[in-house]
Amino acid sequence: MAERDRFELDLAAALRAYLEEAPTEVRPTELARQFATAYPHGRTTFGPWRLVAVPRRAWVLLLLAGLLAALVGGTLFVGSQLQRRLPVVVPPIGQLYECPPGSNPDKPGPADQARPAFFSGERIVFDRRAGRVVAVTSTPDGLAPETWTFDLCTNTWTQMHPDRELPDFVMGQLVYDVHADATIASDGTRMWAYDLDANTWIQKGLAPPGVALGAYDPVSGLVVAANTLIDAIDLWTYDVETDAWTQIRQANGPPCAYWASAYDASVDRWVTYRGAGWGKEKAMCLIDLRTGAWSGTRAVTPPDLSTGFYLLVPSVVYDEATERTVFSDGRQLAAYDATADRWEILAEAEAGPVPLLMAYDPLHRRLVGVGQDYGRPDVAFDPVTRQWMVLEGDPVP
Amino acid sequence: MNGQAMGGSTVASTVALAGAGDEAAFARLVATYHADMARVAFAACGDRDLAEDAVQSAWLVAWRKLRSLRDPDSVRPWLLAVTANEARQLVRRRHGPVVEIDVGDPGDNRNDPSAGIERLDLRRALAHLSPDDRALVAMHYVIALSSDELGAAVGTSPSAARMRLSRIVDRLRKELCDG
Repeated sequence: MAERDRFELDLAAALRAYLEEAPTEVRPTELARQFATAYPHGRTTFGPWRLVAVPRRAWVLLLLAGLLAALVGGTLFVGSQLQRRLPVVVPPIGQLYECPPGSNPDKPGPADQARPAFFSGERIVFDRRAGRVVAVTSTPDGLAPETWTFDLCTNTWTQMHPDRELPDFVMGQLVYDVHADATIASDGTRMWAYDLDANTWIQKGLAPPGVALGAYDPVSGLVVAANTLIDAIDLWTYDVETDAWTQIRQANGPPCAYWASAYDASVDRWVTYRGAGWGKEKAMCLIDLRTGAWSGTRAVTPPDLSTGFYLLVPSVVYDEATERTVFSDGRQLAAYDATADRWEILAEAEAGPVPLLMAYDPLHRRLVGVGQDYGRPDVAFDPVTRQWMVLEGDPVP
Repeated sequence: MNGQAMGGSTVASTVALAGAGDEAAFARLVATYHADMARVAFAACGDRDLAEDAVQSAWLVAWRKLRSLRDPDSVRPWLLAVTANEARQLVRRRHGPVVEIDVGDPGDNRNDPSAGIERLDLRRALAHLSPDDRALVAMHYVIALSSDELGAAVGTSPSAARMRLSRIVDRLRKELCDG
């Protein structure tokens, strides 16, 4: 930091005096005891992916089998260079809901409708078969999660009131699993699946420690997840139907760490991004999930995407209309074109209501952003025309 | 903070133990960082009761999520970031879109004679900033976070954090010197 001038010295002194009023008293032991009693850390073992004891002879056989597989894999390996259209056929990303005849998705929903509270840490995904955004938000006091949906044909919010809500969603993640037709949630510890038709959250097993959900992979029909606690990314797939975790073999390294990710169907790659901070530079990497091969990017440095305090990750979606991965941090909307290896800033908060929470709406081939800071309205953004449209709530200021 | 000691243990080992549910380790973290968190919360909220609630909420988040901390040596900026976030949420719930802090009794003259800025003027100037910006100012000028730590707390590069801080200080300078 540069040397402080007279004003800054005065400011620092005045602030120190003012903050003497802060409530600094605490009884550390009592506080720790209170939390330990109310929220015990009970987890010591894990679910189906846990390693089992293997006899020494079996290890030798496993090692030989691994070497053989590596030799075969190396022979078949076709490299990780991106191509405009891959030889593998990426299947269409699931059956798509159609709006009822006569509905007008461009007509804003009622301004006085009940709507969820957005503070921070909420997540949204688009349920392709129901044509609705599923949102896990929090009660107005911020203490418990709530489940809401937003109908993209009528632009109306509905609080779902399932039999039971998720018990905890602080820093949780959501991914819509097309194959299973379920919204998969991780609260950082346990897995859940939300069946919108039945309006039920189904409790699943434990997630491996530190693993955060990434994106749905339409080729394997599984959810991709990664351990973000360690620099060498530990990659997994999650099969919600069998509640099983499988580790993804990585062919090369070192991979870059990531905070936010999306599956890019135009290049059949999982695109990962991390912002600067915590001693690391911002970085972006892509992985071929079929071969486990990572590739970097020669694009000009990615934009500085940050969501402010608390390390909330940017919202990332794959835009099927322009075949780009779009990132939003509430201040700027940036698109990454993997085939051209190029970034583009689509919109900035000074010129429009850039949302923090975003989902891709394949029904109308546009992005949907829901209110986050200070009563921002729910909006749609057409990535082709770059026009904003208010979907619900107050007009854009 | 790399390798710093905390009651005979390193910060990283204390964080690891606390993340696993060790009460004593968690209590050590509380004893070490609570005062700084309270100052940041008070700066953001401008209200003692709200600040107390914000710090309490922040410790609860820490208890539940400490094990998800990517770099245990960065626990201080992480805790301050969690506190600032909890404070922002509380201010928003309490006041809605309009954010105001208590500027105190006009007769409040508890000024530090050594300081060139009067307390009431400072409060009025801070009231025009967002809770996030007030927290950032406190983190820099009172808690003395380094550029790296500030960037980590705000979630940007150190240079972006410095630029943001510089804009805030320019606003305060204009308000307090010209106003």
